[in-house]
Amino acid sequence: MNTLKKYSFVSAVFLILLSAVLYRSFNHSGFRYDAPRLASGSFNGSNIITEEQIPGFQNALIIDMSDSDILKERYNEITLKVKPDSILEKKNIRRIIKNKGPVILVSSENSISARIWMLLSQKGIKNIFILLPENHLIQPM
Amino acid sequence: MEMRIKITVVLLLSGLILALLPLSANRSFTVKPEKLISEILDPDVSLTADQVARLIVNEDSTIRLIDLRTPEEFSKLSIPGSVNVPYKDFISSDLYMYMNDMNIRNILYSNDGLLSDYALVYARGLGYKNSFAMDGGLDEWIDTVIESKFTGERISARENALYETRTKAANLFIRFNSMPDSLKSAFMTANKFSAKKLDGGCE
Repeated sequence: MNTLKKYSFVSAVFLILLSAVLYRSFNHSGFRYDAPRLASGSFNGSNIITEEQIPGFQNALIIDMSDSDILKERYNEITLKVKPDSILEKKNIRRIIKNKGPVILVSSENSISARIWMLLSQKGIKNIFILLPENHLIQPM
Repeated sequence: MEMRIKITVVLLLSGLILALLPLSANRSFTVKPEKLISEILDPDVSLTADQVARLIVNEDSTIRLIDLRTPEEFSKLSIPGSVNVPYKDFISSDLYMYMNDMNIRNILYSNDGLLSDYALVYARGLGYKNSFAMDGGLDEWIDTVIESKFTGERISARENALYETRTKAANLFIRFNSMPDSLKSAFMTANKFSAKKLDGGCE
C-alpha cells in the first residue's frame, strides 16, 4: 500500500498519457493515425472490383448509395441502402464495422464511391472495395 | 520518492508512449469526419472540364493544376500549365510543399477522375481547403474540350462563348503537347506574354 502511495503521482500521469494514446488510436469517431498507409489500398487499383466478383466474396456487405434499386433486387440480403451524406451515421458505421466480410461501395457516380472509400479508409475501416462498371480500366501506378 | 526521481520517471514513461506512436502521426486527418463529408459532397469542390478550360484560357493566376498521373503519361499529354505530382508521391509526401498557399486553388486531375477524388478527400482531410477536383479527369477534358464540335444550325450567344473557349483551350492544348518537354515551360511563359500584349490596355 505504501509503495502504491509512493508512486501515485507517477502512476496518475502515466495512466492519463496512456489513456490519451489509446483513445486516439482506437477512437472510431475520428480518423486513424498514418493517413498515407491507410490510403495505400488505392495505389494499384486493388480496391476496385466488378459485379462478377461479388459472388466470390464471403459475408460481403454492399453499401448502395445509388438512386437505382437494381442491386437491392439482386443482392437484397446483403445490401444496405444509404445516402452518401449519412454514411457516417452511427447505425451505418456500426453495421460496417460489425460486418465480417468485405464492404462494397456502389454509387451512381464513381467519384462519390471513391471519395467515400477514402473517408472510410481513413477511419480505419479495412477491406473496402469500390464497385465499378466492367469496362472501367484501372491502370496500375 | 524525491521530486527529481518522480520527474525522471514521468519523462521516461512519456518517452516510451511517444515511441509507440506511429511516425506519420502528424499526417493524420485533422478535419472532423462530419465536416469533411459535407465538404467532399459539396458540388463546389468539383470543377467541370469547361470551367477548367475557361480558367486556362483566362490565364487565371489563382489556380494550379496538379496532374496525378505517372511522369510518362504526363510527358505524353497534359493540360498546359499543370505540374506533375504522381498520386503515390502526393499521398506519401508533405502536402504543404504543394498546397501551402491558401490563395491558390489547386485543381487535381487524373485519367478518369478516380485518383483525383481520392486525393481531394486526402488533401481536404489534412485541412487543405484550397483543393478541388476536375470531374472525369483528362478523359472528360478530351471528350468535352478537345473533341468539341458544333453540329446544330443556329448557335446562341452562350453556346458561342462556350465553343470559343473550348476552341482556344483545345488549340493551346494541342500546341503545347506537340512540343518537346524542354520547350513547354518557355512556351507557357511566352504564351502568357503574348496574350497579355494582345489584351492591350494601358500599363
